[in-house]
Amino acid sequence: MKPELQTYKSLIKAFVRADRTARIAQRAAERKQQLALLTYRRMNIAREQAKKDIDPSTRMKLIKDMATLNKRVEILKQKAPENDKKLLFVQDTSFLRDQILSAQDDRHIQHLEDIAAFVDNQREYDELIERYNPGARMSQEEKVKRTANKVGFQMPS
Amino acid sequence: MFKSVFRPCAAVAKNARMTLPVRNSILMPQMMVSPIRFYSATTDRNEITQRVVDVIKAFDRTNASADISSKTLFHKDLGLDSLDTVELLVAIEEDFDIQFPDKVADELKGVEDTVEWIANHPESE
Repeated sequence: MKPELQTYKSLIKAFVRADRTARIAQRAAERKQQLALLTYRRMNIAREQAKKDIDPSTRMKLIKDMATLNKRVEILKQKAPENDKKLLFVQDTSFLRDQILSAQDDRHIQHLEDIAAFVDNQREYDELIERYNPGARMSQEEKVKRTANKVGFQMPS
Repeated sequence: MFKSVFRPCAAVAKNARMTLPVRNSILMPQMMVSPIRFYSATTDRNEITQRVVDVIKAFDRTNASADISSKTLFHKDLGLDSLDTVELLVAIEEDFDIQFPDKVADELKGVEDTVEWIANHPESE
């Protein structure tokens, strides 16, 4: 393998690994948002259904809407964002590509190699920080709940 | 930690008088939990091929994303240049949690080579 290709490989690898966690988290957040929206719409339909004076055709339509919404919720719940193979690729590599193709001397190649090492080490550092500080990313609500739990209390639900 | 071990034992002990003869057969499966190891290695070629094809399909720079078989070649059939191939191999490496040595990576020209190498090196790290 040529040195340029090797450098390119370590660059791509570093970027894929660094991106992956963030993108999984982002997708999980998006999914949560969509679920909330669907739940809201389902609630609206249920409210409509509870009304007494609606004609049969509207009622049928409401039932049908409810069924489609339920199905969409099921599909969303089954999707696991971390299994998506698209996460294994860097989305836009044109910049990296230009860099590697315009690299003329060893110094430039070495610089790109350093960038790859930096990105990879930074990712590892972040992972370790997170592992050794489990509360760092916890939501305030969760923190309060656990603090209360520590002294034997439970938050009112 | 031991709760899960003791709880079934207590339940068994309570009924011990009634079920004395069968006691052993009840106890055995809980006492002898054999350690299970989860290797990610799959040596079944069809399975590996399917996974590799899935990865290729997720790659948006390929020409013919519809029909990929084990005979597909990266350069000729998919129209990937050397940099694209590197990206694809990195994706495959990440998916299988393996690492192609540099010498091998040069020789992987198609799906078949890749699957063959992965099947032959289940423990490669």
